[in-house]
Amino acid sequence: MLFELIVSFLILFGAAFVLLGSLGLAKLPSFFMRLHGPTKASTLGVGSILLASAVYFSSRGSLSVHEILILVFLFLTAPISALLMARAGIHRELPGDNPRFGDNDRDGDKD
Amino acid sequence: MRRILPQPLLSLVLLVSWLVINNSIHPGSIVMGAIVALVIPWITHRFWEIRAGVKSPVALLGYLGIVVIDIIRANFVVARQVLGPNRALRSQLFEMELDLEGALPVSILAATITLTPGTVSCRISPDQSRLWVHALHADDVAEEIAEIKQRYESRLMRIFGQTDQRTARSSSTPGTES
Repeated sequence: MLFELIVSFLILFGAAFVLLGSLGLAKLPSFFMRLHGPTKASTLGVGSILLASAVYFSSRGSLSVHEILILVFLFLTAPISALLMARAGIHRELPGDNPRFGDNDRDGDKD
Repeated sequence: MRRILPQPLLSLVLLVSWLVINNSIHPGSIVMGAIVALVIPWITHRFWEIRAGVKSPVALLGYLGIVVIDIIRANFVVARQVLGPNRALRSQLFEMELDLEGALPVSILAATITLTPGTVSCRISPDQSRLWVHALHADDVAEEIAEIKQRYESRLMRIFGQTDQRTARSSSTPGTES
């Protein structure tokens, strides 16, 4: 009973934040602002859904810790995809936040 | 010891990951995990230019705790900003100077900035001295930079044993400058 309460709370909590993330993606006006939605949803939202899964499977028998590994890999990779998208946005000089360019920055950016 | 375990931290991470994937601390898993932890660093040692160089593992654990708390706390702030009117948001792209040095510490800082809501790191300058950050809502850019520096960067400098800008510069190894 207690476990069910915890699990349902975590799932609802996570789902709410994933929903907020997608809402942000749909609603915010510029590319750079939209970037905030998905990177956030994958932290707290997916985090608590995975935690719910861990609690649920641990409560019925054997300890389940796979989810922590999923979380770690997600946290390692999410910032990288966000960084790549943001860099592409800066390169294309997408409107929204008037990126300021440093003097020799763009030439050195061939990596 | 160095020959068998060229990178103790990497070996430890591999062993723990293996046990977590298998979901057991059965002796069989431990033996298999130990083999993985020994063989993979040995095969891949040529690719590893960057050494972790963590000076204070305790501070690293403290840092992880702070990041997790910040993720939870700041998510609520962003939730309110997303639900509020777009007009109220003053999003900004700003550039910050880094005192932190080395590819790995800078990457960790950039990842932290992205994971903690409200800010996304957009670009690291090729010489790793500056970081571009986009904030969803920032009233005062200087304040935002000061908070990142004080909350994350100073702690990372302690973890990687970089106390002062000058000493860090003179003692940086060739492998971390690429």
